[in-house]
Parts: sequence; structure tokens; C-alpha cells
Amino acid sequence: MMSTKVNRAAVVLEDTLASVGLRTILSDYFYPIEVDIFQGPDEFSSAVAISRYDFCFICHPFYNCLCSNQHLLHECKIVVAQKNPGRPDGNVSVLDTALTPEEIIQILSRIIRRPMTDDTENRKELTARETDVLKLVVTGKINKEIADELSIGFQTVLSHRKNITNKLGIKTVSGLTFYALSCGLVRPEDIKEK
Amino acid sequence: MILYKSMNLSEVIRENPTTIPVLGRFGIRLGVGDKTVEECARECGADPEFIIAVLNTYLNDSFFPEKQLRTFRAGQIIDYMSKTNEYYRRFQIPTTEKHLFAFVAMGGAQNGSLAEICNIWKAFREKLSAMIDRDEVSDFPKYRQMLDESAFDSPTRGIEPATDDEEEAIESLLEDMQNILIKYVGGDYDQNMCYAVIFSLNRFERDLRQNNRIRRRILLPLISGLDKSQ
Repeated sequence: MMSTKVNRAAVVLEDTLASVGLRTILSDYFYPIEVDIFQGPDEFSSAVAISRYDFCFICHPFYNCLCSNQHLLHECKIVVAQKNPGRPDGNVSVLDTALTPEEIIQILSRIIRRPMTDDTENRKELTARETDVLKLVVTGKINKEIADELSIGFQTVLSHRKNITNKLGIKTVSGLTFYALSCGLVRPEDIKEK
Repeated sequence: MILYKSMNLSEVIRENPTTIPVLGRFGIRLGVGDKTVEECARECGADPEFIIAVLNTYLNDSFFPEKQLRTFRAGQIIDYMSKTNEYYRRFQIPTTEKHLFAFVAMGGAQNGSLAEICNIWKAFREKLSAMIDRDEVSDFPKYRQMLDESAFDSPTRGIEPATDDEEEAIESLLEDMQNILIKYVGGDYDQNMCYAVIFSLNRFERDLRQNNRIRRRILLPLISGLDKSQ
């Protein structure tokens, strides 16, 4: 759960009910996704200046307003969403909001096809240094002691611990102990009784 | 799904059977007939508004009526949390343990990794038991005594509540057990029993998380605010 990438979508449509409906479909069928609704291109422009969106569902009139500010959209996958949106154009996808819910979900599943997890990050083995940190964590060492023993900074230890948790999906020392024992990284007699 | 007190309780339960233990904490038992949530609540002497607020918090992760919850009496919240502790101790812990131990036993003695999972469970059980003991032996009686002495239903002084970190660690142990079973279980084991364990852990984690949300964001600020006003 913790390593799952959360997609972010902006919905910028003229019709409030369509916006809310699209947000419901996205939230119900394309977890994990965060959806923000904007009332118009100005509100969206302000938000996109500080936030990054993976997808932008926008109607034609609003899209045309933003065409002069294409840089705002360069990191988004653009989906023109409205009744009779026409044909896809270049990198811009289309979603006909007059279709049935099932058809809309099928189209969305093609648009949001990318893997939900960041595979390169998720499937990495622990590095040698992370393994060193893990061994010391499960033998009962606190962060300060680990930093001293490995001659690294305290913040570096915290960073390694965060990476270990993200890669293994395990947060607690008890859970990490299980992992270290089952992989043979430590022996049962190395584990300090708590 | 947002619930209202005018809803037929049997339909609510049919759609959301996980509300059964929550209702039980208010003294509402099955055999509800065609009564509404409000009617059942009043029959048990419970506040329907409070029940609805707790049920909605429990059912909807993203729904947390913080302002409304803070309008309820601290005594109501303490009673609810105390019943929840009792539920954990008398039902949820033994049930999860029964599934887990059966799962480990069916895996055979040669599968040491399953036995190791029991150690994580034991760490969780010890932490949760300590938290419950502190609630029931120390904190809640102290809160109640202060409530009795105050006309405003207001605790309290000298409270040392469980820290966020401590509660987070308790919930994280359940989360870790599920991730370990899903990602790293190996050797001989019974997949159906494993599903029963994961399901039980998942229900427990969810319940504990919602309960601790009420504790952290409602009960403790209420107590802290009242403490400052004294």
C-alpha cells in the first residue's frame, strides 16, 4: 500500500455534475487516485503552477483558453472530456461524457493504463548499505548507534530506513526482524531480547 | 455510503455487516426488525446522533465529522472507547489468534517462518493489552472521576495519553503482518487459512485505525482543551 503510486487528476469541466460524476468513477474504479475539481481554466492555472497532475480532464472551451499556456499542461496527459469531443489529436485523448458508464470506464482504463506502482523502485533489492542498516536495526541498535557504527550521518540512517520500509513494505522492527531472519541476514541468537 | 438516523437499521446492516460489532458497543443487538437507527438507539438509551457519527466515521475512510464529534460529551466517547477495548479483548484478539495459530499449526513444524509471524502477533498483543490496561485502569477512571466532579462533563488534569507514535506502531504491526503474509510467506502453508488470517488482521487494523482516529482527534483534544480551561 505504501509504495503504490497515487495518480493525481484535475477535472476542469463546465458541468458540475459531470465533474462530480467523473471524480466518482475515477475514485471508485481507478484507485489510488486523487481528483481535484476546478471551476474553470483560471482556477486550474493557479493550482497547476504549484501542483503536478498526471491527468487533466478538460472540456474544449477551457482547453482552448489554456492553449496559449501549454507549458502548464506539458507534464499532464490531456483528456478532452465532453459530449461529442471529436477525434483524438496528437497526445490529446478524448472522452465522450455521453457514453454509458461501462464505456466510459473502458476508455478510462485505456487512458490510465500505466502501472500503478513504480516498478523500478518497487522491485529493487536492498542495497548493501541498506542491508547493513537493516541488520543493525533488528539487532536492537538505535539510529544514533547505527550512524556511529557505520560512520554515516544520522539523517543518512533515517534515509536508509525509509528506503528499507518502502522497498519491503514493512515498517516495524518486529516485521523487519521476521524478514531478516527469513532471508538469513541475521541468526536468531543475534536478536536482542526486548 | 453515508448513513442517516432515519434509515432502516436492518438495511444498513445488510449492506454493511461490519457495523455489527460497532452497534454492539452501543448495546444494539441483532433482531432489529424494521426499526430505524434512531429507534434502535433510543431503545438502548444511546444517542442516535453519536451512533450515526461513529458509524459514518467507521465506514468512510475519508469522512471524519470532526466538528460534530467534538460536540458530543466526553463521557459518551469514553464509554464507547471502553466498550471497544472490551470488544478487542474478549472477541477480536482471541478470534484473530485462533485463525493465526490454526494457520501456523497447519503449516507444519518445518515451516519456521510461520512461527516467526506469531512473534509479531505477540508483540502486537502485548502493546495493545498495555494500551487497554492503561485506558481501563488509569486514564478512563481518572477522566470519569473528573467528569463526576465537574458540572460541565469536563475532564481532567495530569493526563498522559498514548502518543501518536505508540498508536501508529500498534497499527503498523498489523499492517506489517499482512504485508509479510502477502509478499513473503513461503514453504508449506494453507492458502485458505492464510486468507482467514489476512481478513481478520485487516478488519482489526481498520477498526483500530478508526478508533485511534477518534481517540487522537476528538477525545484527546477535548480533554486537553478542558484541562487548559481549568
